[in-house]
Parts: sequence; structure tokens; C-alpha cells
Amino acid sequence: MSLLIKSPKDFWTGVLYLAFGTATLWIARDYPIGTAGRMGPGYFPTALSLLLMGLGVYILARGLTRQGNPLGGFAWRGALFVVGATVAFGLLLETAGIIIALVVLICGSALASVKTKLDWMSILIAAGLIVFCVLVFVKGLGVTMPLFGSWFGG
Amino acid sequence: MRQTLTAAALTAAMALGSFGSAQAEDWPASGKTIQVIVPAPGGAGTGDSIARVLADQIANRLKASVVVDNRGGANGNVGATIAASSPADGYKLLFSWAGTLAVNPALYKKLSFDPQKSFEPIALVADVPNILVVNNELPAKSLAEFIDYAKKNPEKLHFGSTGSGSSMHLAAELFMAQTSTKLVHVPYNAPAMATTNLIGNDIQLMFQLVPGIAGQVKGGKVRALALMSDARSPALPDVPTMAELGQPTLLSSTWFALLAPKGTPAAILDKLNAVVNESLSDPEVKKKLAAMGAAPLGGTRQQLADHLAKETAKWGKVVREANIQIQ
Amino acid sequence: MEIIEHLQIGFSTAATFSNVLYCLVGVVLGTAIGVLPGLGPVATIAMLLPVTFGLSPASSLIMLAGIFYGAQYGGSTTAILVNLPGESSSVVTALDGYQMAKQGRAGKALATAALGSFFAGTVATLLITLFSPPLAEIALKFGPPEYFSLMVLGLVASIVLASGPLPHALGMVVIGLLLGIVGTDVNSGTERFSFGTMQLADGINFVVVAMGVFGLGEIIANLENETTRSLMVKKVTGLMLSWAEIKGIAAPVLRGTAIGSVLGILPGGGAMLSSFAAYALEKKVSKNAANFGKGAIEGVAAPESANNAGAQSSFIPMLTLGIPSNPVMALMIGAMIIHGIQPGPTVMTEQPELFWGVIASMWMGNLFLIILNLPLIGVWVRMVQVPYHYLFPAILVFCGIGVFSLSNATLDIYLMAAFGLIGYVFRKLECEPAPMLLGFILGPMMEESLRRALLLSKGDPGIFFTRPISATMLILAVLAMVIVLLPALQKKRQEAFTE
Repeated sequence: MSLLIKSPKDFWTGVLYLAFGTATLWIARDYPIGTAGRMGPGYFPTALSLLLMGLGVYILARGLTRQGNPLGGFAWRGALFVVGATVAFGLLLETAGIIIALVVLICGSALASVKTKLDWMSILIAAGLIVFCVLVFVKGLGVTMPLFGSWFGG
Repeated sequence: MRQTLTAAALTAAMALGSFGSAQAEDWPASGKTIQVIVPAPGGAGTGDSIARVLADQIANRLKASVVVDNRGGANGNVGATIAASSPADGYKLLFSWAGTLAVNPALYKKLSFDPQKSFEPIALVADVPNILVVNNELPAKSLAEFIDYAKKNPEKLHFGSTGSGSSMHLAAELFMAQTSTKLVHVPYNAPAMATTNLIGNDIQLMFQLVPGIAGQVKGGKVRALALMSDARSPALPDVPTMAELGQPTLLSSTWFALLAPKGTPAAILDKLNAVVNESLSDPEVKKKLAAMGAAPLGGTRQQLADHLAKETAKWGKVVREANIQIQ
Repeated sequence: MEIIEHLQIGFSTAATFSNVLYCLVGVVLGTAIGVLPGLGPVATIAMLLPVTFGLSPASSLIMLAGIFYGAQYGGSTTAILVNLPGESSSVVTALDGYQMAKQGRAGKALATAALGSFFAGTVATLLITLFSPPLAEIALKFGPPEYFSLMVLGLVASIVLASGPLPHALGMVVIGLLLGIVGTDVNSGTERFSFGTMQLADGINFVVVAMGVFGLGEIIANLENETTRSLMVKKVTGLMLSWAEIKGIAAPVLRGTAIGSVLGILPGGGAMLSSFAAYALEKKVSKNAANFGKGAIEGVAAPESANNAGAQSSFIPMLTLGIPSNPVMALMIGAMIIHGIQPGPTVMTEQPELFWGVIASMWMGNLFLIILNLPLIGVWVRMVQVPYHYLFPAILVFCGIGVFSLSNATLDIYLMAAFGLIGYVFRKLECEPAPMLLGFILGPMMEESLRRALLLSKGDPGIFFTRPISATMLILAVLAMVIVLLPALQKKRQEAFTE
């Protein structure tokens, strides 16, 4: 396998483009295409999907024939905690309320960094950030976020 | 920690439960906020502006805190769905309009709310009529001349709208059906772009809503031919109505109404109905609505229910006959 | 002199104590929300609209206008310091600005942005004062075919933005175009790529994509090697520009201002196109072209000037025709209506003190902004020196709340998280997100205007070539394409030779 792939970056970009193009082509299969003069809703997505698939194939082929740079490591820890904490924030925002959601977002994402330590400085910054957000966004600008959400009858 | 949290949650839940059964005399309780859900993005559009004026009035008259909660998306379906599934405790209301309430049931194959069954009507609030405006270079100077011109030039005149099934589109379909004319529909995402193209003569006419075009009519950038309402608009008093010009059935307007989730106690609904009617007779509110090109409506809860049923039937027919559908 | 009379009317309105104060409040607020990632002027103005009910119409418009152009100043700050473009116009500023910050030249980048913005804002305001009505006519000349050709030109320009491999960049543009399609098709009412959810019926918000791909993606990438690499910029070289640097950015600022002033007038995204166009042009004409994407000061000066000139000139169609050229202008029109003023061509004659007052306030506002921003640079630069593991959770917090505030939908937060992951993967594969974002912005407008134009011409594509403005832009697009592709082809031939 790795003998075949000369440029992993090109190869995987090609795979990604090809997969994305195939997926959009598949989803758009039912949209009426119409004619060039009177285009239907499917004309643009279908044409773009095919173009993307073509580019994907070209880049993929290049990855097999032309020498390129290796991929390098993947930041699993960073990706997991950053994305996970953000999703948790979304889940908790209206159910548990902004305060708890922020605590989870800040603490959860902080775990993404190996340098994070539970010291007074961190707690102070986190608390300050939460107070700032509540004052500015909820009280000041009136963004409709409950301080305590539906779980607490808010 | 965990135990105290659970306990707090329980107390809160109990408080909420007892609240639901509480009498309407306690409503609105101090410390609770009434949320008026507006199924459109904040700030833009006549609907949002009227909702804010009304929310302000309710807050002052009931000495309560009232906020507008903008939940735009999918022609108002997002906000209406949220409102339909909200607790019926008088703290969640829906401020919506003709498009979402009377047109969408015919337009969408499946809707996750039923405008006539998911809500309790409170009151009609205001009404914004459509107006037929044409490009200045069009030779037709009056409605009669325009109908004549359109008949002689079938599928030559283009009208702009804010999308399939929008108020501007349906007004045009109604016009075509009743005057036996054929106009070409050119949908736009933003009304501003359509207005630009109308002034620039890329499209020749629009069935605009009064507040969206009154300034351009006054400034002589476009020519207004007829208003699709019973009475002339205070924003454009010189423009005749369709009825004055012999077309009494060419009526089209976007009306706005206040509703509440199904099951909201009748006492609360009556209280709100009274507040809406009081507000609408306030000269200050009248002045604000007139400036927006809107006419105050008001009336009983039953009047809203009847109006909704009548409008749903009328636009349902237009949508079906023009064969418009949204997937 | 008529103009002196107009300015007299304007300044007699704008220079009253309360209006100066509202102008100041507006620009300070605008700068603040511009700096906070995710929170843009549209959401802020929408939320603050009720506050302005109590003010006089002139005061409220002066304040709201201040928020808008103040946010343009502030937006570049976050783009430069932490690679977070909160507005579509600051996407290109982030390209070179962030690189400059990484090299310890954040102060210079911020100073360039502030000075360029000030110059452009002042010149564009002068244009509004002198030529508003005739300039508004330009907007009317742009029908559907002209828009389509403009979008084509914009897309060609987007490829110039890329500094990575050309096929990768092309693919990113196409992915952007496809993402832009999500939502209800205005022509047929069909919901495309919405997976049956109502929340996607209106498409994906630009801020969601930008915050995800740039903000979250960059955070994950920065955490990748944090043990071996120091993320803190320890040494910050001079905050102020040297004389040579000022001379170097003079021409880019002038070109950027010119592009922004013209494109800003067009309704529907002219202003955001202007920063892309200015950057693309600069990359082609600059002697320093090789450094673009690696921290070229010209790459900050040109787009920043363009987007500020565009922000000012986008007031022209709103003030003279009552036509909003972007969502912020639509909100301003809403504010006028609430105050009982009918926006339209009559405002200029019926409400001269309002019309000229708002324009006069822009001169003051720009002056306040430069006075406010230059001393602040020292403060901002220190922010880059905060240890990254303290900084990034805060960035995430602002992204999360900002994205939610767009339409009060938690789905936007999940989408942002997904785009963050995608953005990181793209980064690993040397696929640059900037061309994708431009495709995302231009795609819907391009498809719509193409189909609209063909609807008007009954399916005849000749409409694009017989209308002079449209034809000119298409020729320019072809020329630009040739200029872009030629070096790539030549390089390939050279490669073939050496092999």
C-alpha cells in the first residue's frame, strides 16, 4: 500500500474530493436537472459534483505517480477534546443553561492541551470568562440563552 | 454537590408544575419573562418591527418583562414549530403572519404544526397590503392600460418576487388568474435585489409590499398602479385601490397575528386579546404602524380564527391552481 | 457651493454633543464586537435595535452606522491575532496578517490595517459626499447577467488567492460552491442538501463555516505539536511602521480603496468581494508577490483598505435609493421605518439633516476609530503573548456564543464543530480554506443570477455577451484565468524538462 502511494497528501485529498463529490451527486440524484436554457435545481449540484469527482481522480492519480510530502501526525487529543467540548456546549446550552455549558466547554477543551494544569490561575481565568459572558451577552446584548436551562425549569 | 443539584432541579420542576395549574390571576408573575417567538431573523422586515412595537406595549400594559425571540428559517416553519411545542402557560407566544399560517399548509407537503389546531388565536394585529408597481419606462400608465398591455404581450413581462409561494408570487398568480394575463415569474432571494432590477428595467413589475417600496414610489423611481386592499394606504394616499379601479376581488395582503400554544388558559388569552386591542387604539401605536405602511386590525379571538380559516382556503386554492409546491 | 452647504447641514446635526457621543458609543461598540470572534455587526445591531427606539432618528442611525464600520476595524484585529475572520471581508486579512503576527509583527500588521482603513474610510466618505446620486446609478446597471459575470470574475480571483497546489485549490472552490447550495432553491422551492431538516432550509451561515474551518481548525492544528513547539510569540518587533514600509503600502492602499469604493456600491455582497479582489490584484501586480501568504504587508494593506472603502460606499444605495446592499443596511432601513422615515430617494430632499448628518458622522467616526485603535495596538499585541493554553478555551467560548447568537440555533454550534474537524483535516492535506469560503459566498449568487439571466433571455446565453458590462467582465475573467494558468503550465513544462 505505502509503496503504491507516493504522495499521501495528494492521495488522500483525491480520495476526500472523490468521496465528497460522489456523496453530493448521490444526494442530488432526485433533483430535476432541466436544460441549459431553463436549469432545474439539480443542474448546478450535479455539474459541480462531477467536476469535483474529476478533480479527485486527477489528484488521486497524481498521488500514485508523483513523489510528495508525508502526512505527519494527527492531533487526536486536540481534535477529540476541542470538537467534543464544542458539541457538549451545544447540547447543554438550552438544557442545562449557559453557566454549566460554559464550565463544560472551558474545562473540556482545556483538556486538549497537555500544558493545562488545575491551578488558581486557570480557575480564575475560567470564572472571569463566565462572568464576562453572562454580563456582556446575556445581560448586555440580550442573547436568548437561559442562565439555567430547561432542566432547572428556566 | 450532585445531590444538591438534583434537589435544586426537583424543586424547580415542582415550582414549574404548580405554575401550570395556577390561575390566570397570577399571570404574568413577576420575575417570569413572556417570550414572543417571531419566526423571522431579528431586525429586518416589517413583521419583526411590528412584533417589537407590540412586545413593548404588552410589557408596559401588563407591567411584565417581554422579549422577542427570533427563530427564523424555512418560511417561518422553524419558529412556528418551536411555538407549537412550547408549554401552554402564557409565557410563550407566537407572532406570525399570513405566509406561515395560511399559505404554508398548502405549500409544504408535510408541516410539523397545524396553524388552525396547534395554536389558540389571540388577535389579529395589523395588515400590510401588496401593491402593483411597474418600471417607469412601461407605456402603461393605469391599471386598465397595464392589463391591456399585458394581454397583448403574453410572457413578455417579468415580475420579481421573494421566492416560490411568497406573498409577492401568490399576489401575481391571483392577478394572472383573474385578469387572464400571462406574466413570467423571476424569483429573488433578497427583495432589495429585485427592487434594484425593477428600477433598472431588468424586470418590469412587482407586487411589492407597501413598506418595501413606498419610498421609491414617492421618489418617482417606480410607478404604482394599484393597491390590493379595501382602503387606501396612509403611506401612499395617492395610489388607488383595485376596487376603485373595478377589480374588487384582487385583494392580497400580509396580515400579522398573535397566537399562543394550544391549551393556554382562556383567561390568559382574553387578557392578551384586551391588551392587543387597547394597544392598537393607542394613537402612538397607530402612528408607528402607519409609518411602517401597516393598518391596525384588532378584534376578537373568534375573528382571528375565522380570518385564518378564510385565508387558508383562499391561498390554498391559488397555490393548487398555480401548481406551486415546495419539496 | 452646494457641497459646503450640505456639509454645513450635516455637521450641524452630527456635531451636537449627544450625536458625537452616540457616534463614539457606536464605534467603540463596533470595535468591541468586531474584536470578539463570532459576534458580528448583524447580530449586534439586531439585538440593539430596540435600544434605539428611544433616540432621535439621526442619533440612532449615526450609532448603528458607527457599529457597522467600527466592526470592520475591529474584525481585522481578531483575524490578525488569532486567525479568526468574523466577517467574510476579513478572511483575506487573516491570510497574511496572521503570518505576520506569528513572526512577531502583529503590531505592524494592526497598524497597517488601521491606517489603511482610515485612509479608505475617509476617501470613500468623500466620494459619498460628492457623488452619491450618480454612483447609485451604477448599482442599477447591474442586472442578472452582470452579476453572473462579476461572480465568475470573483471565482477566478479566488484561485489566485491560493498559494498551495492549484488542483487542490480548485477542488476547495468547488466544495465551497456545493456547500453554498445547501438550502431552499429560490427558483423551484426545492430544498437541497438539507437532509429534511427545517434548520438547514435557509442554508448554512457563513460565520458557522468560517469559525469552524478557521477558528476550531487552527486551534486543533496549534495543539498538534505543542510540546515541541512554542506557540508564544516572545519577541514583538516595532509597533509602528517605518517610512519605507509606509511608502511600500501606499500603492496597495490606493488600489484597495478604489476597488472597494466601486464594488461596495453593488447590492448583494459587493463589499465582501472587494477585499478578495484587492488581494488577488495585489498578488499579481506586487513586486513582493512571492511573499504573499507568508506575511506580506501589502497583503494586509490592500484588502483592509478595500473592505473599509466598501463598507462606507455600501451606504450609497441605502441612502440614495432606499435599497439595502447587505443585511446591516437592511437593519438600518428597519430602524428608519420604526422611526417613521420612509427610506427611499426622498430621504435626501425631505430629511437633509438626517442624510447629511449620517454622512458627516462618518468623518468623525473614522477619526475616532484611528485615535482609538492606534494606542490599542500595544494592548492587543500583548494578547498574542498570553500562553496559548489559556487563550484557546476563551476563543472557543466566544466562537460558541457568537455562532449561537446568529439565529438562536444549537445546530449551528454542532455544524461549527464539524467544520472545525473538516478544517483541520484540510489543513493536514494542504488544502487551503480561503478559496472554499469564497466559493461558499459566491456560489449561491452565481447560480441564482445565471438562472435568472437565462429566465429573462428565454434561455439564450447571448445575454452575457451582448450586454457591455457583462461582456467586459467575462473578458477580464478569461484574461485573469490565462495569467493564473500560464505560470502553472510553464512550471510544469520546466518540471518535465528536469525529469
